[in-house]
Amino acid sequence: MSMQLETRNREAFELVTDALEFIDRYRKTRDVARLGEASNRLAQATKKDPCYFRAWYYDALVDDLSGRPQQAVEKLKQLLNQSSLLTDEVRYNLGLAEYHRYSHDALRRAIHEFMHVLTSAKDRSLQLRAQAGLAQAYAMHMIPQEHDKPNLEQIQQYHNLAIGSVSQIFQELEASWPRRLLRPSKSPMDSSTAVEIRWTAHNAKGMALMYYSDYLPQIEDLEDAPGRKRQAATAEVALSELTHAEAIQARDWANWCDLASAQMRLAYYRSESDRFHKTLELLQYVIEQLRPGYAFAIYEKGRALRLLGEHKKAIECFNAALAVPPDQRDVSERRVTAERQRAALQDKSFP
Amino acid sequence: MEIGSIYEAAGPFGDAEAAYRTAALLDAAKPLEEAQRWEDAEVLYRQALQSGSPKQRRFALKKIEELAAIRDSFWQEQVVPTWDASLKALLSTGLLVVYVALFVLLGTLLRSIFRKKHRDRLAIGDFGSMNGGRQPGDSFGETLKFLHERMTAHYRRRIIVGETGKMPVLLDASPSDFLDLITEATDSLVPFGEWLARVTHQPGYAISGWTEPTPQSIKIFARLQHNGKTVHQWLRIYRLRDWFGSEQDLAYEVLLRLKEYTDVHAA
Repeated sequence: MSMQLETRNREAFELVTDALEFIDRYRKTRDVARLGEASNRLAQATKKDPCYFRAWYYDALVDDLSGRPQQAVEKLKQLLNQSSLLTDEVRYNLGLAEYHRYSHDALRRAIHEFMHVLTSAKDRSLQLRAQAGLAQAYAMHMIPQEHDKPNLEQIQQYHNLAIGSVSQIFQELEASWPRRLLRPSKSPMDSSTAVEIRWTAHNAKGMALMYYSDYLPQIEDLEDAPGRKRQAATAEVALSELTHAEAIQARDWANWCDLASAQMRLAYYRSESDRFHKTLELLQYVIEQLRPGYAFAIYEKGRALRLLGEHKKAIECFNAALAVPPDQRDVSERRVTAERQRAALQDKSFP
Repeated sequence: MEIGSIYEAAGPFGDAEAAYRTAALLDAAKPLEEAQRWEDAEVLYRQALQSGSPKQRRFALKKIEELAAIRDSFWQEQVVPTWDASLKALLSTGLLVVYVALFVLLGTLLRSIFRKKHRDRLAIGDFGSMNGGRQPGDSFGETLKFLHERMTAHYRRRIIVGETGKMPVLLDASPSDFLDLITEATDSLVPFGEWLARVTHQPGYAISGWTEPTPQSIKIFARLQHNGKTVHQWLRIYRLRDWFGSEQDLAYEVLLRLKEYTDVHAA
């Protein structure tokens, strides 16, 4: 089936326009019901014109935004070489959907796609978005597959890559006005794109520092007390970066989960039970409002409860997370099962 | 003056005074004559004729005769007034030519500036019926404008979607606030305001055409132009009862053609 970028069918066009308006409203309100409306219109549009590229493309993006990255990846792969005009955009979104699957294999594929966009895209703002995505993927890749067998060298390497990418982004975004005047861009970036890139960069930096703090004493070969102190300081900076991201773009479910994770680490390093409760509040808001029933947030809530010593409640959370289908869980069965086992053994250690 | 001195020396001082006065009149007439103020010079010579010595009177009479000859000549009678009139006419025409040239130059300059400024702008005609009066099809221009707005919203740059091409911005056909202001100031500026509105309205893209309804059908002609050259044109006939369903489809077809054309040219 050969796709056409535009449709000759006005009704299909109207349906896609309605869907785009719903996506815009979702971005303003973070109301996931809007994504459902958008998805519905796009499904109708693809029925009216099965060769309408834009309808399929936006449908894949809505899948990814709605937490169905697996479906998004499948659709985007099919669309990849269907429109020469949007190849780089499709590839970038494919990278983003792979990133949202969070497994190490998917993260490697995400890194590959973002790198491809960085070298092939002509649009500077798309290149920067890819670089920001790359920083997030590097940061996420720092989480070891098995918490008790971390590859410290690899964690250090991905941490450096993530922080390096973020530095490049800020350097570019904060280029002084004489430089911008002397080297004007052919495709100047609009303010909302700059905001999105800045948000992603702060989120990536927050994640990189947060995951680095997990194994910092081993990486930097520190004793217990100074190691714990450095861990807390690093988690504090991570929290500050994530709070900055929240200030730029509020109520993003992924950033809220990261904020909760950073709070959880600080609570653990400083033995502050109030912070554990703050962590639980943040995660509860994600589960109830921002992304209803989000399995990763339920899993993270279980971890916070385990560290707090509420092992029974923690086990309930891990069981609830395992009840969610694997393609919507964003956390592997092995990881959840391992955490459940630690809760059962009343293990209060971290990571 | 010489005669006046002789009289003065001999004793008849009244004659001497008259001779001096006449001499002054003759002296005053000379520069007037040189300045070709013939009538003023003649008045002075006539006064000298009444009060001067015989020699002075003879001189004044001779001058009056000479002046009469000059004034009666063909040159003064025909050529000089014609020349003066021609000169005045030439001057007026020259000024007019300069004004016209300035307007043409200003018009060309403004057209060129606004053609460049509005190269990505679109103007949509009103598609009025050729038969006059309110007819089905008259609203096609409005339908095009409505769909243009929808397509602009559709192709707007979005973060998650990125750049997907642009629709040319609609150029408002009504005069600007500035033109409103200057034409409201005084009625005499209305033609200038209209001229200014005409030369500054230079869209790169234009959709124009007409409709021709009959009791059973409606014929519609639409033309898409870029910089005055036709990109595509449509001539369709619809049954009147189908028109209301087809109007938006045709408007979409026209605007989609425009979008595809601009995408190729932007690339």
